[in-house]
Amino acid sequence: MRWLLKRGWMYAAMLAVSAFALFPIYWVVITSLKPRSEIYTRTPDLWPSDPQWDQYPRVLGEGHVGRALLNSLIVASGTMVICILVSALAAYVLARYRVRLTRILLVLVLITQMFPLVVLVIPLFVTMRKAGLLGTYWSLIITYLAFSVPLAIWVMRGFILSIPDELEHAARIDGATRLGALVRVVLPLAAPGIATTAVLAFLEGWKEFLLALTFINKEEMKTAPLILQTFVGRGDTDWGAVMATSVLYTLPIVLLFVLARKHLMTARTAGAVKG
Amino acid sequence: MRKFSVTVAGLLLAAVVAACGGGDDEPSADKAAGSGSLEGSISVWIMDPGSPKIQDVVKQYATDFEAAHPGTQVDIQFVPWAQAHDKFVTAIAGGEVPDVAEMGTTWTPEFADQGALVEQQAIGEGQYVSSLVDAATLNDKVYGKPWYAGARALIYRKDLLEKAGVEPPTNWDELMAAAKAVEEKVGGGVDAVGFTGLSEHMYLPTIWQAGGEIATQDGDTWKSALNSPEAAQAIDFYASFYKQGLSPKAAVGWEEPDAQTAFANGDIAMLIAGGWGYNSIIATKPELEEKIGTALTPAGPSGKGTAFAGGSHLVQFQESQNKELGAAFVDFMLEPEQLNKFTSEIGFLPGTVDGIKASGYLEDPQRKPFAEQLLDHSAVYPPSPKWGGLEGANIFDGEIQKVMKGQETAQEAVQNLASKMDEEFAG
Amino acid sequence: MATAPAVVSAPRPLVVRRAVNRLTLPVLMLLPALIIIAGLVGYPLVRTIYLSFTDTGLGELIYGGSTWVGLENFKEVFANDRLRVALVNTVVFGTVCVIGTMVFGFAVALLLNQRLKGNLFFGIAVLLPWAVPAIAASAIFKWLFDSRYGFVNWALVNLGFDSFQDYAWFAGRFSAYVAIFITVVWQSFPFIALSLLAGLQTIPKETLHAAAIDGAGPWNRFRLVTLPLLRPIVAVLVVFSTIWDFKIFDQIYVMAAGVPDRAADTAAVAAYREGFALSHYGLGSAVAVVLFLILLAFSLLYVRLIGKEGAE
Repeated sequence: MRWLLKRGWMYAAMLAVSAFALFPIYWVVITSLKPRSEIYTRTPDLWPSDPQWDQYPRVLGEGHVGRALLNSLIVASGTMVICILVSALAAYVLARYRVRLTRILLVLVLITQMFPLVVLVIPLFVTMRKAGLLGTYWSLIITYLAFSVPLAIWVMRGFILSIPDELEHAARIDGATRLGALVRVVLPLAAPGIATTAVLAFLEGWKEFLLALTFINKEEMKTAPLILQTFVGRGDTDWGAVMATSVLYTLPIVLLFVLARKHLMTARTAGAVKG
Repeated sequence: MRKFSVTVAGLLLAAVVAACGGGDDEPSADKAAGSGSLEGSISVWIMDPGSPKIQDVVKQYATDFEAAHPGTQVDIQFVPWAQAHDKFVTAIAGGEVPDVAEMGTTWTPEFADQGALVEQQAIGEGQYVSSLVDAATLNDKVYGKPWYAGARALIYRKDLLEKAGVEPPTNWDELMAAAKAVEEKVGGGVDAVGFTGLSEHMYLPTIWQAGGEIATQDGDTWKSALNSPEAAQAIDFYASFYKQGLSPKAAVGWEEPDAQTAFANGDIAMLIAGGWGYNSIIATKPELEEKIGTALTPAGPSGKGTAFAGGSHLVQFQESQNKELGAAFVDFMLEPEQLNKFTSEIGFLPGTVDGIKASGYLEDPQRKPFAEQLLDHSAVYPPSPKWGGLEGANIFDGEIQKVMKGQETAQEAVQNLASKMDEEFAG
Repeated sequence: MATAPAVVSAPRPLVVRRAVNRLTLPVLMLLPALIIIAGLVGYPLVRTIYLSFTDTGLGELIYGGSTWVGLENFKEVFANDRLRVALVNTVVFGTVCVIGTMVFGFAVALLLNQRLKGNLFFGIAVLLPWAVPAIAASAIFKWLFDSRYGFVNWALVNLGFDSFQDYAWFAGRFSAYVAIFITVVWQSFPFIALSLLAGLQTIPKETLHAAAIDGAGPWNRFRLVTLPLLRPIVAVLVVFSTIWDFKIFDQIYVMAAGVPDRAADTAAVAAYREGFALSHYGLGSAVAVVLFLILLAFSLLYVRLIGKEGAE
C-alpha cells in the first residue's frame, strides 16, 4: 500500500510531464493532417476528420523536403563528429591539467556564447565570403563548431572531473599510455557526457536557422529549417505543409534519441572501482 | 523534356512578339526576340511565393528564358519574405549580391540611396502603375521596375450586411453606420470590422483618406506630415471602431492574417484586404465565395478613398557582373503573359498597365474593385531611404495600439509619431 | 584536427615521452579547438565591440567611414526608455526562465533516475521538445495560445475559467511573458534533464549505500550526497542556461510582437531592431555589448564558485 502511494505520485508526475512534452508535438502532427478549413476553428479538433495523408509525399517530393533533410543530415553529422573529437581532447586536458590559464580559458570560451547571433551575422558572412566558403556545407559546419565546441568542452570537463584520477593511474601503472588511459578508461565512463555532447552538436547543426539562411542561397543546398519557408508566402501560410515538414524533420531526431538512449540514460557507474 | 520546353518557349515567344509587335518600340523586346549576344549566368532572388507550385512557375521563367537564349544560365533562388530585408543588408554589406532581385517597394529607395541598385532607364509613360513607379523613384531617378502590385479594398459579407439592413459603405460615415448596425443587429459574437493594431496598411491610408499626408519632401530632406488635424482625425476614426466595441477585443494585437482568418471564420463582417487576401479566404472556406462582396475602400472626408499600393519591384544590383543579361531577364518576366502566369497564382496584379488589362480582373465583377483601387485610388508611402527602417522598427504600431486602448489620444499619438519620424529622417 | 594522429604515433623513447607528456601535449591538444573558435568568433566579437563606439548607418557599414562617438551609444542605451526596459526585461525574464528550467529539469532527471516502468517511453517523450527549432516552437506555442483558436484558452474555459474566453495572451507584457516562459521551459528542460540525469548516474552507488547504512533518509541522502557531488554540473548548466535565456531571440521576436510599444522586447531583439531595422548599427552593437557585460559579470561569479570546486 505504501509502495503505491510512494510510487503512485511518481507515475502521475511522469504522465503529466509526458503530456506537457508531447502535446505540442501531437498538435503539430494532427495539424499536418488537417484540411485547410479545419485548421482555423474555434473549437480545436483533437483529431482531423479527413486526414490528408498525401501531405507527406507531396511535401517530400514537390517541396524538396527530402533533399533538404539530406543536407541537414550532412551538416549535423559533420558537426557532431568533429565536435566530439575536438572537445573530448580539450575537455580532458582542461580537467586533468592544472593549466594556470584554465580559468581564463574557460571564461574566454564562455564569451563566445554571450553575443546574440543576429549581431554577429554580417561579419561571419564576410569571413565566409573571403574564405570562399559561402553556400557550402563547410561554412555551416565550421561555424556550428565554433559555437558548439566551447559548450561541449565545458560539459565534458564537468563529467571528466567527476571521474576519479585513480582509475587512470591504475591503468597507467598497468602500462597504458596517457592517451590509452583516456580512451580505455575515461571515455567509457564519460559516455553519458559524450552522448549528451554528441546530441547537442548534432542538434545545433540540425536546428539552426539564421546562419543557414545567411550562408545558403541555392535551393539544392538548403537545410530543413530553411525549406520550411517554401510554404510561407506573403501573409498566407500553408500550415498543413509546414506542420508535415516539421514532423518529417523531427523523425530523424526521434531515431537519434532512441539510438543514443542507451548511452544517454544508462551509465556504467564508477562502481567499477573498488575503494 | 528540353525539346518540349524549347517548343513551348518558342510558341510563347512567337505569341508575345505577335502581341506587342504593333505596339511602341521596346528596346528590351528586341533584345529578347532576336539577340544571340546574351550570355553568361545570373542569380535571381525571388521571395518565397508560398508553395512549390508557384515556385515552379518562377523556375519555368528561367527554363524558358534559357531555352530562348542558349548559353545563358539563370539561377532562381528563393528568399523568405520575413528575412529578405536582412538578407539584402547582409549581401550588400558583405559584398556578395545577386544580379536581379525582387524587392519590396518600400525598400527600393533605401537600397538605391546606398548606391546598391542600377538605375532603370526605359520607364515609359503609362507603362506601369504610376504609384509604384513613384515608390521606386529617388531624386528623379527610377531604380526598379514594378513587377506586381496590389491595393487593399473592402471585402464584406453580403448576407451579414443584409441582415443588418445596410448597403456596402462608400464613405466613412456609411462605414461607421454600417458597423454599428451590424454590431447591433447581427449578434452571435460577430463583430463589425477587423481593424487591427498591427496592420500599417490598414491604418496609415486613413490619413490619406482624411486629406492628410504622411511625409513631404523639401529638397533633399523629408519631414513628417503626421502632426496635422487630418492625421489626428484619421487615427481617431480608425481607433474609434475598436474603442466602441465594433472590433474583436483581440484585434489590437492582430496582424493582417489574423484578421483574414477571423473573416474566413465568420467572426467579422467587413475587412480591408487585397486580392490575395480574397483568394486566401476563398481557398480556406470555398462556401464563402458567394457570400462575399467586394468594393472600393470607403472614402474619407476629403472624398478620397486611397489605399496603399504595395508590391514588388524588380531591381538590378550595381555589383552585378552581367547587367545586360539581368535586364533582359527582367524584361522577359515583365511581358504580360509571363507576368500574369505568376500574378494570377499569388492573387496580385501585374505592375504593368498592359499586364493588368490582360489579367481579366477588370472583367471580373468580384475582382474589379481591386484593379480599380490599384489603378485609380492608390498611393505609396514616402519613398524616402529611411522609410524601410521606419517600417522595420514598427514605429507606428505601438502608438496606434495605445490610441485603440484609450491610453493616448490620437492627437498625442500623431505628435509622437511625427517627432520619431523626423528623428529618423534626420539621423 | 590533426592532433589526434600526431599523438597516436609509434612508441617513443621513454625520456621524450615524459617531456612531451609534461606540457606540450595539453597545449597541442587544445590548439585546434582554440584556433577555430578564436578566429571565427573572435573577429565578429571584436568588430561588434568596435562598432558600439561608433555611429554607423547602412552606408558606413557598406563603405566604411563610421564616426567615433566614444560612450555616446552606451549613454543612449541607459537613457532611452525602450532600451533600458529591454535590458531589465532581459535580466528579470531570463532569470525566471533559468530557475524554471533548472527546477523542472532537475525534477524530471530525478524521475528518470528512478527507472520506473515505462522509463523508455518517458525518456524519449521528454527529449522530443529539444528537437524542435526555436522558430518552430515559437510558432506552435503562439498558435496554442492564440486568443480565439488556441487550445489553451479553449481548455481553460472548459475547466471553468471563463475569464479566458478570447483572452489575448500576447497583447500585454506579463501575459506574453507567461506564454513565452512556458515555451522556453518546454524547449530547454530536456537538455537540463539529460545532463543532470547523466550526472546522477555517475554518482557512485557505494557512496549512497554507505550513507543509507549510516542512517540517512532519502532527503538527507539527496541533500548531503547527491547535491554536493552534482555541484560542478549544476554550476555549468546554470551558467549556460543563463547565457542562453538572456539572449533568446526567436521566441521574443515571434511571440512578443503584439505587445504594445515593444514593451516586451529583450536586449537581443532590441539590438536587432536598432541594427537591421533602423540602421543604427552602432547603437545596436552597444546594446549587445551591454548584454555581454551583464553575462560576463554573471559568469565570472560562477567561475569563481567553480574555481573553488576545481581546486579540490
